[in-house]
Amino acid sequence: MNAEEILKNKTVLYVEDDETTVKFMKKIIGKYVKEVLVAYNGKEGLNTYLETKPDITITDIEMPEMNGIEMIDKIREIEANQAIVILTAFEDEAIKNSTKVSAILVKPIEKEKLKKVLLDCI
Amino acid sequence: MILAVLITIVVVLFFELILYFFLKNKYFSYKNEVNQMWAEIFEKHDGVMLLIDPDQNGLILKANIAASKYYGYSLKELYTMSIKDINCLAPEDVQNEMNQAKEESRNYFNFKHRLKNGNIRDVEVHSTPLQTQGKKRILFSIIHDITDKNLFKDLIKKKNEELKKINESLETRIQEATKTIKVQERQLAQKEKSRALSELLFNISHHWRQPLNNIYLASQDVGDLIEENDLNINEIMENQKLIQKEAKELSHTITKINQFYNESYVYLKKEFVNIQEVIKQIILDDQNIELDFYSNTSSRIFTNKNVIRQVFQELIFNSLHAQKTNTKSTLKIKLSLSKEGEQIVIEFEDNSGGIKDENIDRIFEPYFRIGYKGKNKGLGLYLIKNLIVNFLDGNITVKNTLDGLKTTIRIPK
Repeated sequence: MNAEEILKNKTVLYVEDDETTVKFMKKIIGKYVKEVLVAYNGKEGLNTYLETKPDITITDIEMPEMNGIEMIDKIREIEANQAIVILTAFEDEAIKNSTKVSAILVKPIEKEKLKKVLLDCI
Repeated sequence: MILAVLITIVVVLFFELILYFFLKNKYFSYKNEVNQMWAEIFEKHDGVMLLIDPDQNGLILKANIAASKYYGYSLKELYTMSIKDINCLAPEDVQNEMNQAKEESRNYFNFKHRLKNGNIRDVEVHSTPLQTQGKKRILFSIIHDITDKNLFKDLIKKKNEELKKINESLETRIQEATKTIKVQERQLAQKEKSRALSELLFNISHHWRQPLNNIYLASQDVGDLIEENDLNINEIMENQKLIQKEAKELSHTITKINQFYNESYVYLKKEFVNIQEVIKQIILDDQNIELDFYSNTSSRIFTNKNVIRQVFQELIFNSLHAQKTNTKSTLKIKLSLSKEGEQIVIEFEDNSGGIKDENIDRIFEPYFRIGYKGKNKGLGLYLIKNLIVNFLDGNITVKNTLDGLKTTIRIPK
């Protein structure tokens, strides 16, 4: 099995508060993985993570209730090796937290770049 | 007997005669003394005095020691001279001066007298016409040297003129300095403005990424659909609509920013603004708004009208918007104005239900979305705070009340 086929069997949790962004990203990520789970803020994301234990977590930073960074810290407490990717418009904020995550993607995102990062995560 | 009487009479008369002559002599010697003293006063007085015969071409009849000393001629010389040898003015000028003195009802003339050494002095001549017993006209003149006085006068005049010039140049310098300060103030205002704008630009560019990202994603999706030959018209149309909607919102933001930062803010003209009137103009005759106004100070404040109008337009717009979503009653606005030390405090209170406590600290952030997933992208409060802080040196705060929101604006008097 090549890497792309392995990726096809993985589940991804996508945490993002903007519905339009979610709609398109779910479709794009969905092309490469088995399933995309969606949460609309950090708190929801953490709950979904605990329930489903996805292979890869992709999250935005600025969100209501609980922001992405807080959520990442909570996940790291549970699973230190969890693959986490930040997908944000605010590169500066993401870079400050680069040590906590596997990769940083900046919006708007190209499909090829996303695919490469996802492959690196497995 | 008769002889005895006669002798007595003769003796008495004789004694009376002696008495008469004795007293007469005594009387005359007293009169002589006074006359002599009078002459001595004339002679020895410090003031320069002359007796002049106007009928003998101004011949000097008498001069005192002071005159001799003053003019430098001996008395002998003086008695051969005419006043015309001393007075430098031409006869017609002398006449003119006399006429002028009469006009100004002065009891002296201003002449120029030449001394023996050739010096010419300014003098004031006090002349009194006298008459001898033989009805001969004589002019008695007392001469004051006023050259030094005149020099002093001229000096004062000159100094005054100098002072005036200094004052004028000082005024020019002050005007120039004021001009420079005004230019600097304007530059500062512009600097302030560009600082505020760059901050605004930073915040906006930050938040524009999200809609731009969505536009990017939607167009990428169209590309994918075409690539995969999945020509679902509905999906493509949906994407097209989304792109239009997001682009429209971005354009709307630019319009709004332009509105807030138009040219009239650059030179921040301040004037007396009646806040109540400004608000009345905004709400016009909207039947759904009630306005109560309280003030313990003048309702006119010295500030920038454009900024004030913009601020209240935004506050009223927000109140109306909140009123429509939160309650259904009439919008009641309580406006109050007061003075607190060096500040004017404007309170704007509505009955529109207020803001969730957890959001209240963030409502001045640009694009803060009220409520989860809410699309209320408020730029207005951010912009008005920006105006109040950067252009009026004031501040704005909000607080929930029982049934609404109270906005407090403080600006310096």
